[in-house]
Amino acid sequence: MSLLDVLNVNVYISNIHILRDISFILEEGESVAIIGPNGAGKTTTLKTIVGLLPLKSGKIIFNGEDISNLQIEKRVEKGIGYSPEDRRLIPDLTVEENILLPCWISKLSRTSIDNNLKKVYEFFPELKELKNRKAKYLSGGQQKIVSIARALIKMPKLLLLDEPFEGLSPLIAKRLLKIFEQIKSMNISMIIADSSPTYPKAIADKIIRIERGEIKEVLRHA
Amino acid sequence: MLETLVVTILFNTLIYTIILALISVGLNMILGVLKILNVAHGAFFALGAYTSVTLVKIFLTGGLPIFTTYIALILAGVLSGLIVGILIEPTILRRIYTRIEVYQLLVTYSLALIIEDLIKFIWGPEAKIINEPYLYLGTLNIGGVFYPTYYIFLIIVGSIILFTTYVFLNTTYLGKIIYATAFDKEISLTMGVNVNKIYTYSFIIGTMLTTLGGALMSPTLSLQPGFSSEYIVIAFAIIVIGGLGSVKGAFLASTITALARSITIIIFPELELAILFMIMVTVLLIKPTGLFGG
Amino acid sequence: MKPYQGYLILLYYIVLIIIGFLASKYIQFILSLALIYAIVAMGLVILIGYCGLISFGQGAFYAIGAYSVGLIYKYAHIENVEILFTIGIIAGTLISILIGLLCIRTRKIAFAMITLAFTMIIYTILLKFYYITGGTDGLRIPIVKIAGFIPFRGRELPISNEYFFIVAIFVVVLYLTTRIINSPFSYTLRMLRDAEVRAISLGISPSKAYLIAFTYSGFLGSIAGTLYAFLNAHIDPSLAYWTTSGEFVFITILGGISSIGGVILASIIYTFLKAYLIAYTAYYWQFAIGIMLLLIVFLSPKGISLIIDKTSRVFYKFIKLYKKTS
Repeated sequence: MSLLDVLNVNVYISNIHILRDISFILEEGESVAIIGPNGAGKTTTLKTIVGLLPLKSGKIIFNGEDISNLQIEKRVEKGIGYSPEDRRLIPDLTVEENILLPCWISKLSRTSIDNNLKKVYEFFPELKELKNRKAKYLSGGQQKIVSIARALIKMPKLLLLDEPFEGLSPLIAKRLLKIFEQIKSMNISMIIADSSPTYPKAIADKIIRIERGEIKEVLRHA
Repeated sequence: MLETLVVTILFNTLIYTIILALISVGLNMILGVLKILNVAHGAFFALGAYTSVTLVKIFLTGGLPIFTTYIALILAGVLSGLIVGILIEPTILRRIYTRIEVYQLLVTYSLALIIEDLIKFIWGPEAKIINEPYLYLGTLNIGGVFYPTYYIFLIIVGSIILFTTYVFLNTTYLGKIIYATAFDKEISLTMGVNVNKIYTYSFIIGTMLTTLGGALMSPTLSLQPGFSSEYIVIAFAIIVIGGLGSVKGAFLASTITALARSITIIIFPELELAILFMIMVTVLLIKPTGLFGG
Repeated sequence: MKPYQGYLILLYYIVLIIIGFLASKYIQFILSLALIYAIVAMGLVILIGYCGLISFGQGAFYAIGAYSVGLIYKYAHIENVEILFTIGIIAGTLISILIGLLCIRTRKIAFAMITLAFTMIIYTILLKFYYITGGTDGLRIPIVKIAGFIPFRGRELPISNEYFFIVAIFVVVLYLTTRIINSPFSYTLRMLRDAEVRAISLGISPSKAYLIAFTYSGFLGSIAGTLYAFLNAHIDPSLAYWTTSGEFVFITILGGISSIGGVILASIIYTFLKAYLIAYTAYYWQFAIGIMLLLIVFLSPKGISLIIDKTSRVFYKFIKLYKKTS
């Protein structure tokens, strides 16, 4: 059973056909990069998988379950983490609060939350230092990292990352790649949306090229 | 003589601030989280007041001692807010979140009309007064002026309610989740927040603040149908002055308005109601988004 | 102005006069009230529909028009409709310019609230200075005369004098407003509403344009107010209360915001509905209106304005058809 089945998905935004017959499969532990120019539909694809956008037609199957019409908050409960392109942190909450917020609502035990947080701080030691700073005082790059940490905190089976390398210096981007490798080794699948394959190709098993809402080709990676 | 004047002004300001703050903080919570301007907020205030009258009467005719009427007031405020919130939010409000603002206004406006006439239907159009809680505590000599001690009760209970709300919103997990939902509903959804539930909780809290305000205020007024439209326009003015959606702003605006009103009543009593609107005009011309708005 | 609109206005006039001859005095009274409200609503069509500025302060000018009549009648003992009418309009329009200069500096919600503030300030003044204005008791205007001798509220003919007068003024206002909507000025307003920055870069001054629109709506508001004073023979400060302004906005929204035909129809429906509901249940008519509103909002997916919009569109098409076949 594959982790994620996207079948013939069509999405409209304000009556404009944005995604046309998108189909792909993601196996458990597999990571895929969705590459395409601006406006191609990368963000739309991720938003549709997490549920921010409704499907006009098609299906999304997660872990054997049809989540096409499931509400967002129920979808993410099943093991999906989402890090949007524009970060979207809660400004007056601290870094740690922003990261932990998904846990406040979950049924995870106190110990597993603490363990997860420890792991996340291992991945991103700079966040540990910033943990009591309010999110509104962070730089763009720092916010990006927090946003990724927030998506990771529940150790979901599937991580949706929209332009994770955007706004990061090459040094930090390379470090992020290493962190993604470690995440991969934990059997967590990732879908990374990016306008260039430069960084994602290092960890993606598949590269999906998307243009004007259609999948142009799928490249298998070594 | 000056001391008496100052004390009078300060005391009146305190009382009026608490009541205005209860109403406007509630209104701003609903606006900030649900993004709906609740035109029925004044009607909720009236509902809290009328319910407390009934509950106090029940307690008294039931032979309970007078001190329990104070509990009746608070109980009435809490219960009426809870019931109204549970009845209205999941049924009516939930259907209009996706509609454009004009229709949301029309719906809350209809609710205001309906509730106001329901009040007339249940309690009748004559004036209602419950004096007992007000008179029982006697009067206090403050700086040479005699004040009904009831106002101390009002100030204390009102402050506790406002303080509790503040602490709740700023320190508890639920409070922070409410803030997150208000700030960015979409991203909160992706973090697993059941936004529907949060909306309901926020609406109930906002409503309870107002109904408690009405309940606390009721022993000091003679209740007549129609006074809800006066309170709603005052509440609107306050949240506009303080900045839409800003709880801090609502509090500051309440204080300023209460102070201005207390002073105006002494100097130029005819303008007592107008002063609020003159402040509003001034603020809107200087900073259209309100003191803490933006 | 397109020719078919001219015929439409003429049709309004003829139909209204015919109704005047056929209907009872009571219906003429209610219809007069509806036309008065429609006059205010037409001003709001320009302000809300074309400028996007929702004013909750029309009651101010309505009350100023009415109280100019009332106060001059009381203190100067003038019974001349023409004089009272003119003074009422001048007073209302002047004050709308003054208030407009301040209000026009804001937009959207701030604008709605600042207009509300002004009408409430006027309400307070009318209420509190009761020794001049009569306070909550209000003022009576029992006898006013047209041309010095025709009583305004005359009952000799089957059509009441007041109805005839109000219909005449209504038609003139309808004509004026239609002219404005078809003038280049309305295009200026629409451009400001839809693309303000570009309009400014073309040299259009938003403040000037909006002030003109605001003054026009104040002008209409004061006309309506004076007519109300003549019609009702009694005025009180509630004319300036925010709920009165709310009714005007409400009617405009129901009527489709930018459609003159729509708001006229909405005004007639609302006024008659309110009159009959009040007659039926004096205490609970608001409840009835509230329930109706809820039903409309929930049952009709796009709201009542679409219904009224479609109805008036059908009406216009009918007129076009008539024009084509003749």
